[in-house]
Parts: sequence; structure tokens; C-alpha cells
Amino acid sequence: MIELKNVTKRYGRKRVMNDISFTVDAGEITCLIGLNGAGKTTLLKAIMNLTPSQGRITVDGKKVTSKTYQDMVFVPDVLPMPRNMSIQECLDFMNHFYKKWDEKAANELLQFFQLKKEERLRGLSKGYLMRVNLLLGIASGCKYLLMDEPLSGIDILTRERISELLTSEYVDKKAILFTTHEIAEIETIIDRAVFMKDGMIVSDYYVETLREQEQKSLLDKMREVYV
Amino acid sequence: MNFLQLLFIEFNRMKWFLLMLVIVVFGAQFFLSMITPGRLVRDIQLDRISAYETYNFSIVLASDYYLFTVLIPTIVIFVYVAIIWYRDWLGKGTYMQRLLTLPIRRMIIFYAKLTTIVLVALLFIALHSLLLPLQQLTFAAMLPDQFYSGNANVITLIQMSFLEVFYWHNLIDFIYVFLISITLISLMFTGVLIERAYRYVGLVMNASIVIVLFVLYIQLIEASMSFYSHEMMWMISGIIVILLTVSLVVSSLLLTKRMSA
Repeated sequence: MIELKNVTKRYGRKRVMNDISFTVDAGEITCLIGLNGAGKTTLLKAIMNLTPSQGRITVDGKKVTSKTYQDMVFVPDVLPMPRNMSIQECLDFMNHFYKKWDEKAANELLQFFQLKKEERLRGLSKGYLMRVNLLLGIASGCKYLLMDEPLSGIDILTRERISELLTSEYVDKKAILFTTHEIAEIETIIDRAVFMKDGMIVSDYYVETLREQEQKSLLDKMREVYV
Repeated sequence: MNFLQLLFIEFNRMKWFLLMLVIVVFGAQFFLSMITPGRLVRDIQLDRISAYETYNFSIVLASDYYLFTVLIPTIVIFVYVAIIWYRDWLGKGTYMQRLLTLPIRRMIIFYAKLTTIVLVALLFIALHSLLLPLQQLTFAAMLPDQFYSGNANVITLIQMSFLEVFYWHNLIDFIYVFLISITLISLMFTGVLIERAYRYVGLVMNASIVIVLFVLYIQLIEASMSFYSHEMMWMISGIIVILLTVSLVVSSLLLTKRMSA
């Protein structure tokens, strides 16, 4: 479980994360929803120790250290690999560092995403780079997957593929925390929606509960929160 | 193994650039070795220099152009000290996000980059020492025999030119130069990390550190007039060890606690 307690971050006088407390549980897909500048990406980076913050962040009860990264991987909105590398070199790179690297999943996902190992990253479109990005994240074998805007700025086919992937066996037992603007597409995929506004969590719902008890869609709720 | 993997990737990323630099630098040196004899002969014919004297390869080493061919890789390596970090933050791939979230101690990234720079510098020195005799042979082949005073010992050639700065005479010298170089690169790396951690404030902090180090350097020059050379050597060694330790500790703290990507 990833647990955040009173996490705060300031840029000068402005608070971009304000006293955030919440948990991410195994086997759940949690989506951070918010307008631009709500603090979604900063929150993911704070969990990954990619930006300094105050408060307490633990993963399985322990503070984030280099060892934690064997269990927690970050999939940012841009593939974080040098563009002169080929897909095969990226796979070898990840295989070297991640003890639980899943070679079988990597090979299957190459086919699923229609990627060729020998292709160089610099020749790939944004959509295909995101496919590689997700492949590396999922095949790393980490149980916590943090993804920043995996559905933004990419073609409809790639979006469909990613949505399909998020409901597949590959992510079955993983805890996924991701940010997005594409509410309509993820409604049927996610378990939980966390709404952020001005660096704070303003509401936190299980989508099924929302549908059954309040008879509202995620979009309805979003309008309620932000308008 | 993690260190070697990162080191391999650093070299893999710069291989074409490095190859191009090697070709340009050593190509220019061979070109100078080829055209200098022609210029010498022309100057002799125009009575600008004596026809009764003989010349050797040291005339090439003494030229400003040769100095320039050595300065280019030196400057490029110094610039690369910054580039090796900034390209990972500012490049298209934001590779720094991957590096910082790898399941390894973050200082391994630092050591891999430091080793890359040191190895590139050593590579240039090694290649130069291997190619220098060939450059001398090229010079000899292009100059008419009556004007050539014969092959000089390569070590003598180095000692008689500015190249002496880049070479060492014994193991102690080598360790000394090696430590100074590593400390200098490490301090520059720390400067980059300070800037990355504190941005504009970091620039001010870096400027302050440069001023302090400059004052320290001036003090050492003044002290050299009051101490024996072996005393100075011990003093400088002590300062270097302290600076290197501080640089590594500060870098480690910044990488683990203050880094943004």
C-alpha cells in the first residue's frame, strides 16, 4: 500500500500540494482527476521522490528508498529513455535493473502494441512512444505503477489499446495510480476517482458506489466538483 | 554491474560525438604535421629563416595551431561536464526521471558520469601519446632530409612543449593530477546539482562557491612562497581530499533529498 500523510509542497509562497493524505491499495486502479495545475503530476513525482516535499510518504510501511523502486515504477507522459536507443536496448536496460522483469509479458506486449524490437525510439510517433513507455512499466514487474497522463495527446487506436491493457491480466494484481483528463474513456476502467483542486483532494469516490448509490457518472461528479 | 551498465550507456550515447571529435582533433594534428614542412621550405626559399639550420618536430608542437587542436578537446570535455547532466533533464526523453527512479543508489549515476569524463580525458591523452610518433614520422617524410635534424625522443618533445601539462613523469605525479582532475569534475557536478536543486538561488550559491575557491587558490599561491614544495604538496593534497569529500557528500544529499525531475 502507498500511504501519504499530510503531504505538502510549496513553490515559493504558492502551495501546489496542500496537506494531502490518502492511500493507494493493491489491485485497484485509482485515477487522479483535476484541471491543469491541480497538482496531479506533482503528487505522482512526490511519491516517486522526484520532487522534494514535506509530510510522510510510505510504500508498504517503509519510506521511499532506492530499494522501493523494485516495487514502484513511474510511467511519465513522455518516455524517459534516450532517443538513440532501440526498443530492444530499452528492454535490455530495464531487464538489467529490475529483478522481477517479466520477459514473457514484455514479448507479449510487443505483439499487443505492434512494436518491433529493432526500431529506434527517435523514429517513433508520440503514440508509439507511449506504447513503449507502458510496456516497460508493466514488464518491470513492479506492483505499483504510477502513470502520468497515459492517454493524453495520442491517437485513438493507442488510447483504445491502453484502455484494453488496463483491464487485462497484466495489471490484475497491481496497484495503479494515474492522472488523466480523458474522463469519458476511463469511467469503465477505474475503481476509484480522486478529485484534486488547487493542490488539495476535494473528493474521493469508488466509481461503482457513485454509480449505484448516487446514480451519477464520473463526468456528472466532475461538473459538480469543478463548476 | 549497475555502474558498468550506466557507464556503457553514457559511452553509447556519446560514441558518435566522441568519434567525430577524435577525427577532427587528430586529423588536424596530422594535417599540421604535413603542411608545416612545406611552409618551412617556403620560408627557407624566401630567406625568412636560415637554410643552414636543421629542424625537427618540435617546430610543429610550438605552433599556435597545434595548441589550438589540444585546447579544443580540453574545452569540449569541460563543457561536456555540464552537458552530461543537463541533456538528461532537458532532452526530449527526460531520461533523468528514469535514472532517478532506478532501483539503485543515486550516487551510482554520479560515479558513472564522473568515470565517463575521466575515461574520455584519459582516452585523448592515450591516443595522443600513441599518435605523436606517427605525427613526427609524417613531418619527417614531408621535410627534405637536408633540413631535418632527425627524430627526437617523444618524451623530450613533450617535456619541451606545452604538452607537459597533460602528461606525468611518475606514479605520484599521476595520482596527484588524477586526484585534482577528479576533484575538479566532482565539484563541477556538485555545482550542476546545486543549480538543479535550487535553480536561481543555486546559481547564486555556485557563484559564492567559485569566489571562495578562487580566494583559496590565491592564498595557496601566496603560501607557496613561504613553504617548501613537499610541504605545499601535502597541504594541497589535504585540501583536495577535503574538497572531494565535501563534494561527494553534498552531491549525495542533493541527489537523494533535493532532486527534481
